[in-house]
Amino acid sequence: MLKILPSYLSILRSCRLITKPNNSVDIIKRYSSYLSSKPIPKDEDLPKYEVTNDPKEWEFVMRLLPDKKIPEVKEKKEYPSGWKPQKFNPNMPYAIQRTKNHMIPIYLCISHNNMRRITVIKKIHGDIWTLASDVRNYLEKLNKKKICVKIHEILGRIEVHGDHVSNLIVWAEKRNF
Amino acid sequence: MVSREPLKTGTKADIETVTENVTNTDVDISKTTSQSTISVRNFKNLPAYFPTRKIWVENLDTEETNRLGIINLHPEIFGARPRIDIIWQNIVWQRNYKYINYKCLPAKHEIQRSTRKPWPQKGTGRARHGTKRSPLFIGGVKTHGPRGPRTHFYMLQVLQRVHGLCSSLSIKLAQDDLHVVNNLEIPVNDPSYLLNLVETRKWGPSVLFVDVDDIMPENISIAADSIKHINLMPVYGLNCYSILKYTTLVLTLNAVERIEEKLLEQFYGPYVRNRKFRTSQV
Amino acid sequence: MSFGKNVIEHATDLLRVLPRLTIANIGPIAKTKKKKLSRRGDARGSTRGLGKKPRTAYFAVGSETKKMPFFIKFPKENYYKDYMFKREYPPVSLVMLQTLIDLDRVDISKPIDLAAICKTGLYSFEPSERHFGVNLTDEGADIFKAKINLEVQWASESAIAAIERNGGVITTAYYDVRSLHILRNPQKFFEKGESIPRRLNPPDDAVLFYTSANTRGYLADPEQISWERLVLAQKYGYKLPKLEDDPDYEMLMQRKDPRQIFYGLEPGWVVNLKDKIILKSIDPTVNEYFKS
Repeated sequence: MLKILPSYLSILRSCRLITKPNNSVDIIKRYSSYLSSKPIPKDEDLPKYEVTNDPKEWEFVMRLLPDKKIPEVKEKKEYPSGWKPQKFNPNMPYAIQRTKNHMIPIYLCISHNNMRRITVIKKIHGDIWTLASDVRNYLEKLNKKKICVKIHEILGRIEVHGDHVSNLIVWAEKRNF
Repeated sequence: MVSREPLKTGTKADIETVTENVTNTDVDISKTTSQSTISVRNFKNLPAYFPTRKIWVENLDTEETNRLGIINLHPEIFGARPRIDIIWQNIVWQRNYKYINYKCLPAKHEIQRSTRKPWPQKGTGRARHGTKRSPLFIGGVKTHGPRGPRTHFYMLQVLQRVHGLCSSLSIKLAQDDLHVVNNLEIPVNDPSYLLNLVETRKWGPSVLFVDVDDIMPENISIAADSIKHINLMPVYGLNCYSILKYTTLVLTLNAVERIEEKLLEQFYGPYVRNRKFRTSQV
Repeated sequence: MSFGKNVIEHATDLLRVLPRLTIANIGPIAKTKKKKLSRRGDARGSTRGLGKKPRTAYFAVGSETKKMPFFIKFPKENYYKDYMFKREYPPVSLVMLQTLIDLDRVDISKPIDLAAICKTGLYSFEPSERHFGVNLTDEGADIFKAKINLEVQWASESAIAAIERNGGVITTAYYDVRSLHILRNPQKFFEKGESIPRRLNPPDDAVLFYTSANTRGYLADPEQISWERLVLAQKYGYKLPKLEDDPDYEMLMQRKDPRQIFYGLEPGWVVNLKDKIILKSIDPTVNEYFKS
């Protein structure tokens, strides 16, 4: 007959069960201190186990472990999610590097209680000044107003005043960035 | 003597073998590779906008340099943006995290002085005071004084540490202070051999040799032991402070591969929660 | 037009001319002056332009002059009652799932569960903050095109329809807090060297959800589920693909036991990552406990 206490979960972690002569199971407690705890039972009293080395079972373990490196994207006929692969065009004077998750690094930074919205383009390679002027011209045509652009040449990144994330992602995807 | 593994010739997944796709290079590589066993490492799926980084592989067998071949270095690590500000952050962190300020001044209750009221509240014509331990008195307590051993430990972000390593390695390469050797085997264990080698090659006074393992070849260990400005270091101990401290940094081929592997893991690995204080990093 | 010269190349050219960078000549690029937050007496001493006694300038919170305060006048809104004890399911939309599939972050040749989604590092949930797993939302139901065997913790009806339209299978399954902690980071759990616990049954208020075939509960009758699949197909107006004719029939039919946390690994086993072995108990009392 199984006599299981409500705190069986923590106890059965270590799988330490002792069978008593009256065939009931007494479950070992987790003692609060080392001094008050009882000595660990002998190996003969512990439940017996077998060691298996089945590669089919080990596959189920391996699929749970995370990859060390994010995998490269395989070529497919279509990407239903709308994601587009990057293509390097050497005729362009600049390029934007994808993030490790294969996304375009264009972000929105919100500060000053949602009052200041700045769009940031990161990981720019090549001629950053041409890219900045292209971005400015594109956004000024769309919005029909002046757009401020700040250039960090050393960091390879550009900050555009205002929320233009979706517009800029469309702009970048057209150029296969 | 520790037995060394043979050089890997394009066995890694990232690195192709030399024979294919050697086109846009300034030096005629096919000649050098046919003579030696060292492979030019070509990187798969590397975007074309990265600058190419190449370096000669040298030897340590002879005092005079003998070029064994040329290899490609990963441009994201050896051709990174030279962010001097991040290197500075790393150096400040390396100085500070092990610093403990032992300065301590006694608190009010720790000063050995009478707790008696110095003079009556009224009638003396003097200013009112409750205790002579107060900071107004000479020999009294110091307000907000330093208390006890205080640690200056803090942890820099992982990516700051990674970018710091990449920038300092790139700067070393750009200033011709980085050298790659096939291994750290030298013929004799004489310190004068090492000193002559450094002098003939103009590697500057201080040199840091880096290998993968912390068990180095016997000859170089004995030779470098008595010279204070020539030191050996395993890859896991590589840091910004040491890279800048030494005039020249000498990496073995295996160390280059190991550094690239470990740093690229940080750049291209999936997001891991709470990785701030993991000891297995870099 | 050719590719412009990189900033890195410019910097490299400059560095070759400059003296060697050492610890002696390195320093911070710009010293930004720290803005002083407040001077002495600014913070508490002054009235900050509100007059001599700023406390008197406003009413106390909620009070209206000689009126019943609004929070007493109106009855209580019980919508948020016991919010701190309710279960939460952080959402995953079908667009996000499709993007993960497109970028090869999840393997659709195997059944997808909470562990597979957490493995990508792009979904975060905190079991200690009453997050009980994935809520599959129907955003991007029209573009979703993948045949998957999915197991989530909560799903809307249209999300279920979007997955079944493409020949996939969806199950909603309950995990207790300890199982969720394990599923979030299985590697950390295996490194502890503990035996895999058994999954607990859902609490009283969740039993209805996880036993009904409408929501594709994991405790529902399979025959009822196949009936409900047909009903949903007729409601949304698509032709239900036949599971029996599917080449991936075996993969699509894989389900976990109600007591199981991982696919293929039974409760009570101990996984040793270092030696790549699995320890299984042969003790009858232990096995009886872990039996579902």
